[in-house]
Amino acid sequence: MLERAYAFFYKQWLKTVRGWAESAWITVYPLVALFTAGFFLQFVKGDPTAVVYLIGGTFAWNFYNLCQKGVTYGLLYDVWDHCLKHSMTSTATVFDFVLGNAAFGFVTALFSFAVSDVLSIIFFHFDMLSAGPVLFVSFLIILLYSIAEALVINSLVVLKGYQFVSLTWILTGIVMVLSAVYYPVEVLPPLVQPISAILPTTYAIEAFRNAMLGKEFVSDAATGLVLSIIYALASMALFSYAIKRSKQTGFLSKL
Amino acid sequence: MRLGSESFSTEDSLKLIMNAIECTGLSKKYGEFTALKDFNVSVEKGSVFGLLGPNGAGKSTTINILATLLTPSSGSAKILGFDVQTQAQEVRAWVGICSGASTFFEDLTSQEILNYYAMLYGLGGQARDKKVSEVIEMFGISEFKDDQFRELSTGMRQKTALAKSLLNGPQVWLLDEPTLGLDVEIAREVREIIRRMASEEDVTVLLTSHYLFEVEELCQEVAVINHGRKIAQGKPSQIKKELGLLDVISFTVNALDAKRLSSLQRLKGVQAVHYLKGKMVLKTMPSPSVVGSVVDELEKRKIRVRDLEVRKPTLEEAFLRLVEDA
Repeated sequence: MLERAYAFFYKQWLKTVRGWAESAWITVYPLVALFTAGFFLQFVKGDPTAVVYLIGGTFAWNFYNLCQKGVTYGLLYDVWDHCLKHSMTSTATVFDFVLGNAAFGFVTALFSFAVSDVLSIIFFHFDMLSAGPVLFVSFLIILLYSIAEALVINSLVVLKGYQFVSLTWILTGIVMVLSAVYYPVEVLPPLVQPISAILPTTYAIEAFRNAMLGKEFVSDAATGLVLSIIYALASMALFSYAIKRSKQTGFLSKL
Repeated sequence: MRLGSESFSTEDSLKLIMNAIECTGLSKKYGEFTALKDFNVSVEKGSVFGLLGPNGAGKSTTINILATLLTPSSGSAKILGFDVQTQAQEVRAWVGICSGASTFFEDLTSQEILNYYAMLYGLGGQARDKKVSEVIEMFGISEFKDDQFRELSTGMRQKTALAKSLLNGPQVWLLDEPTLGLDVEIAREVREIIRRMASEEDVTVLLTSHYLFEVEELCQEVAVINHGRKIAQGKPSQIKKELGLLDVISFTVNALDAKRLSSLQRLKGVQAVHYLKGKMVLKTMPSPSVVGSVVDELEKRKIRVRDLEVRKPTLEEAFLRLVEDA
């Protein structure tokens, strides 16, 4: 079973090391985001709370971005190179697909986090690890939610086609805005606050932020974890259904 | 080894199956359009079976159903006794599929592509290395194994695709126009491998091809489908015979002698005689005795001829007749 899951990891690793554009997602973009936020804070001489919100938010966004990309690209590479049917006729399962690709997303996100955190300590005297163990619970929530979101995008691609590929990049922006990535949820218009309340990422971000600011974080972490597990399981069922449906309509063999 | 004994493996039980592929009442509809209708076929284990038809006839639909890429609207299909819908995982374990002009990840090398797909079939460590080396050697791609897929020639790309389709050691090999766009030499190599896999490895091959000489050369049996319906099935020779396609005997003869040959028309088995631009053309029933009696007649009349040729009808002619009639 692990060989099949590892296959997806192996493919993504090869694709990443082959292309500058692919490896930039892990190295260049997260650092650009970190330094932009860091220098901006130095310029406005932000208070410690603002530092937690802005740099902490940057870390969360990068982590989420890479985890989601890991799972979406696991399918999209095949779609772009018109070879999806080869993996669909292999003995790999949806679980292998999720496990291998999510592992790749998680490893790249952790690597990117480690590099960014070292640089953040050096340049901005800000250490994300000061959040304590809850930070890893937050990362787990973000990973599980990313899997769910990626599988919804992949399901739409498998069912309807290429036009849904762009959701890979569109959704990360929208979800981060709605998850109150750089600000408290109360800042959002009351109309959209119910949407943030159903996003696990909102709780994940709030949990590590609260931990860093010395506030209570357990309830946020627990809510986020429960929601993200439900979403991840539901999205796996959706993806399995999408593949089944696409085999009925004949769309899968054309991808 | 006895049935029911603990050491009786899946491979052992597969040996007992006579028909590797069984389609019963297989149909596929897309809305109002019927791509395949009530398709029945049994393919004997270890044989090479040809599936013929014009573009859009339903050949790829059939192959995609057998490869578990497409769900039939009704009917059933079994590979080695496993149902393609309810036992898809078992089917995928025993089936290899390759289409013409296959594409893979452009920036990965042939070896990396093969490693990746070997892993997807659960092969790890030494077993994977051994299998990948084996298929690389079989298809003669070792010289190009470290080249990225985008740099490969059409022939090498297709060889990589064929190599990939054998990674899981399939018992059923589904080949959808495997020699499409290949040069003569590589196409011949591919045909040789197909023949070898069936005769030496007992692999069942389902082959579609627009090159009918290839089908005639490789297949023990063929089915012709048109507009999603099977219109003929049998050995290529049997199909030609049933269609009553005529042999053609031709020879060069001078005009004077040609006039003396009107008696040929009366010979048993001769259906038509034409003389055009120095060439006598006879359409005859497919029987060796007809050729004999034509030669006897020429000798009896002491007529010297040149360039005597007997041409048997081809599968292509049979195919065209079938499709036109349908």
